[in-house]
Formats: sequence, structure tokens, C-alpha cells
Amino acid sequence: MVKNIVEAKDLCKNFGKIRALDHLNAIFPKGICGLIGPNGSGKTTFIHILVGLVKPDSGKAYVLGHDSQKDSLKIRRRIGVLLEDESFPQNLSVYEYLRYVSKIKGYSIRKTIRICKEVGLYEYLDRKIKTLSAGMFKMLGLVQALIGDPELVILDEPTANLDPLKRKRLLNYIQRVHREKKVNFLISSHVLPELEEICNWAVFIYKGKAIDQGYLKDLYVKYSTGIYEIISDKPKVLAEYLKSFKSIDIVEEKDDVLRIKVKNYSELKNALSKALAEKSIQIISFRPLGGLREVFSRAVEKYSEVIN
Amino acid sequence: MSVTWSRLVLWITIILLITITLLYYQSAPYTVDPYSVEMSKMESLSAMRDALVLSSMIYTMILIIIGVMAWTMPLKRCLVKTFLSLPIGRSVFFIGNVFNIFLPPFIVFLVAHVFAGLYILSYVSVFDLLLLFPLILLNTLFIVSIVTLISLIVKDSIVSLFLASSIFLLPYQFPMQLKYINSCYFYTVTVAYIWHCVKHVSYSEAINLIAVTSLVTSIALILSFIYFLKMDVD
Repeated sequence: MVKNIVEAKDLCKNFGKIRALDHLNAIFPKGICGLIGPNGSGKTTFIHILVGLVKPDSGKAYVLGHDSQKDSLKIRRRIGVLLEDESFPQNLSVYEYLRYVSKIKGYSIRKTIRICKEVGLYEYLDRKIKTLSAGMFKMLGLVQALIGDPELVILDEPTANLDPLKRKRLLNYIQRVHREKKVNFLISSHVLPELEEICNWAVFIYKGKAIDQGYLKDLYVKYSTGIYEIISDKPKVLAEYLKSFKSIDIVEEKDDVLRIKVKNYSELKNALSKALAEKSIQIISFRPLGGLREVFSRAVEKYSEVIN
Repeated sequence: MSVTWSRLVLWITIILLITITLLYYQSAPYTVDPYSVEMSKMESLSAMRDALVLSSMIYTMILIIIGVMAWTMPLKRCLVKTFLSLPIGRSVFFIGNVFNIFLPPFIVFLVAHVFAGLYILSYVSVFDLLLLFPLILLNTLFIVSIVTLISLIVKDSIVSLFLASSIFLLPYQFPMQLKYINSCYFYTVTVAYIWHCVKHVSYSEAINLIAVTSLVTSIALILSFIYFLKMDVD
């Protein structure tokens, strides 16, 4: 049993004079992991190396314990991939193409059609791929990635071109597949709020380097400004309860959102646990102010300070 | 995939059949008109050679277009990337694509020539006619190998089309080396074939041409294959 679904050791890749990956070291444990970074930070190059499309200049990458360069075919038999600029044969119908992919992956077309029903692609099965909207095109890529019950699904910018409704539906579906089928996900995106909703682990990538990585809750603590946003079912009761703690200051109460400043994170954690137990308050969301975007910015700032 | 290719093959078939029929028409009066002067063996073979050369030029152009499009368009549209992210080996993809490029036009071209060659069957033996098979196959592979190598390295449709067309169809504008490639190409079929039928060309010349063509084809295919296995599909 492999502990980490993906591992990168000292990966370097140059495209001419452009350094896409600069001694990248990263690990992705089981679960839903996020690869976070701005455009041009090397996310797609990293994914291409994992899939075997691009060869690194130096370093190694392991996917499900296999060397990404030596065992590329073995890896591709066990994973599903949705690439950022995915393309499909335009003149085929959705059904024809999915039947072809199912055959390659040795998967029943009936099961594939079931996936289509789940993601809302069923009505489009007879349509030519070239007539699909950008959103449906993305869904087709997702279905293709999920064919064959993969152990790991790599998604590169999966929500690009999707409207908010479809985006929400896709994220919910990813969570459901992870929960029910124990499929691991590695999702690359620069749209951080959506990753924040579903990921438990994140790797921050910047200028081809992994500048930090860890469980989201730990990264929140590490880069927090001390101000947190809490959404609960009883915000007023919670606010009253938290006022009793000396190290916690209520900064703002607005609708369901409670903004608090805290000096000691572990005290806040204890306080919330007690609130949960004693007052039956349900915490819907808990994150530092600005969320993952702010955490990432602070990580980049800190990294820049160290470099300079 | 099959739908796309079957449509393409249909069009190629129609174009080739019309072209070859028209080209062979020039030898028709000799063979079908009872009042015309009886065609000598030499005249008949000469007509066939002309038809071979002319139709080969069109065939070459078709192969170049199909070859370039089959490599550069999927690369440009990221289709190669999509297929290679599935459990498909690079070697399987390469071999499959090469077969896809050369097999349909080759079969159509060969069949058309064999049918047209039946007109002059009284002058050549069935064996002579069957000899067309390996020669056209070699010729086809020669074109496909060069086109594949150019397309994979250049990766751009227009530039690849221009380069491949220049090598095969505009040889006299270029230096001697390219001229030699062209002469190998055109005369592999025609010279070797005519040599076989009328013993007009020396044996060693025909063998040399076939050997050089085979060597260039093998080297180009091996280089393309290695390049494709190593290249970044980005």
C-alpha cells in the first residue's frame, strides 16, 4: 500500500530559457489534494510529467508508487486524467467517443453511461462532440477521467468555463465520488475558493517551486493573521459564548458570519469544541480571513522575503 | 475515428480513381480501338510509366497532405495529449497513426493501378503486374516516413506541407542532395519496373535505387519513432 498518491523529488524542467519547474519537492497524501498556484507557476507542467506527457530534465515523480517516466503506461491504467486544454475527436458523438475510451480502459459502457447520468451528460450522448458547450465539454472530460474506476483522478483546472451552477455540481460530485468510491483526487486550480471547499491537503506552487504544503487547517494556522471567519447555525449564541474567552475578541458580527480575532489558536479550537458540545452549535465553515487566497498570498510573501 | 477515416478514404478513392482513369485514357486508343495502330510492347510500357509518374505525383501530394494533417493537427488540437493520457502506449499510437496514413491510400492506389494495368496485360505478365505491389509499398513508406519525420519535428501544418512538398515535388529548385531524393523516389517505381519489363535499365541501377530508398525509409521511420517516444507532448 502506498502512503502518498503522488510524490515529486527535486523535479526540474526547462522549456528553452523558461524554467517551468525548479527543484520541485512535493507530496500528496490520499484524499482530495489541491495544487495551488498562479498561472504560469508550473502546475500544468507538473501534471504533464505525472502523466508521462513531458519528461523532466532531472528529478523523479511517483504516482501510486510508480515512476512516472518508467511506468507511465501502468500509471495511466490506474488513474484518470482531465487535462486543462483537453481535446476530443470533434466528429464523433459523445457516445461513440466514450465507448472507445471504455474499450481502451476495459470498462463496461453501461457503467460509463451511469456516470454520464450522474454528471448530467446523459442527454448529450447522441450529440456530436463539436456541438457541445464548453461546460459539457468539461463534463465529458470528467466522465472520461472517471471511466475504469481509477484510484486517482488528476484534474487540471476542472472548473474553467463552467457556470456557477455547474461548478457547484462538479465540486459536489467530486466530493461524493471521493466519499463513496474512495477515489483520490489531485486538483490543480488557481480559483482558490472552490479548492478550499473540497480539499484537505494543499501544495502551494510558485515559480516552479513548492513553497509550502500541508493539511489546509495547518496552513490556515501557519499563515493566519489571527482573524477568522466562522459561519454557524447560531451566530449570536456563539458570539455570546466566545466573548467569555479572554484571548478571543469579536471583531464583527454580520448575518451568519462571525469575525473574530484570536491570539492563541489552540484556545479557539478548544472553545469551538466546547461550543459544539455544550451549546449544540453547528460550525458550518471556519477559515482565516480572506480564506485560502489570503493564506496563499502570505505564503508567497514569506517565501519572497526568504529568497530576497 | 472510423467514421472520420472512412469518409476520408472515400474521397481519396474517388479522386484517385478519376485521376488514374483519366491518365490511363491516353493509352486506351492503342488497346481498345481496333482501327488504331497496334501498340508495341515498348509504347505500352512507356504509356504505363507515364501514367505511373503522373499519378504518383498526385498520390504523393495526397500522402503528404494526409501525413502532415495526421501528425500536426492532433498535436495542435491537443488530441495526441488526450490519447496519450489514456492507457495507450506511445509506440502503439505511432504505429497506428503510420498505418492510418499509408494503408488506405496505398490500397486504393495499388488496386487502381492493377485494374488499369489489366489493359496492357497482353504485353506484361501477371508477375510483372504483381511486382507493382512491393514497389508501390516501398514508395508509399518512403513518402510517409519523410513526411512523418518532418511533421513531428516541425509540428506546424503549413511549414511541414511546404517542406514535404518541396522535397518531393519541386526538386529542381533545390540542391543536388534533394534532387537525389526526388530521383530516388520517382524512379524507384518507374525505373525498376521498366527495367524488369524491358531490361532497359541496368540491374545494378535498379537495385541501387531500391536499396537507397529502403535505407532512407528505414532511417526516417526509426528516427521518427525514437523522436516520438522521447518528445514532450505539451
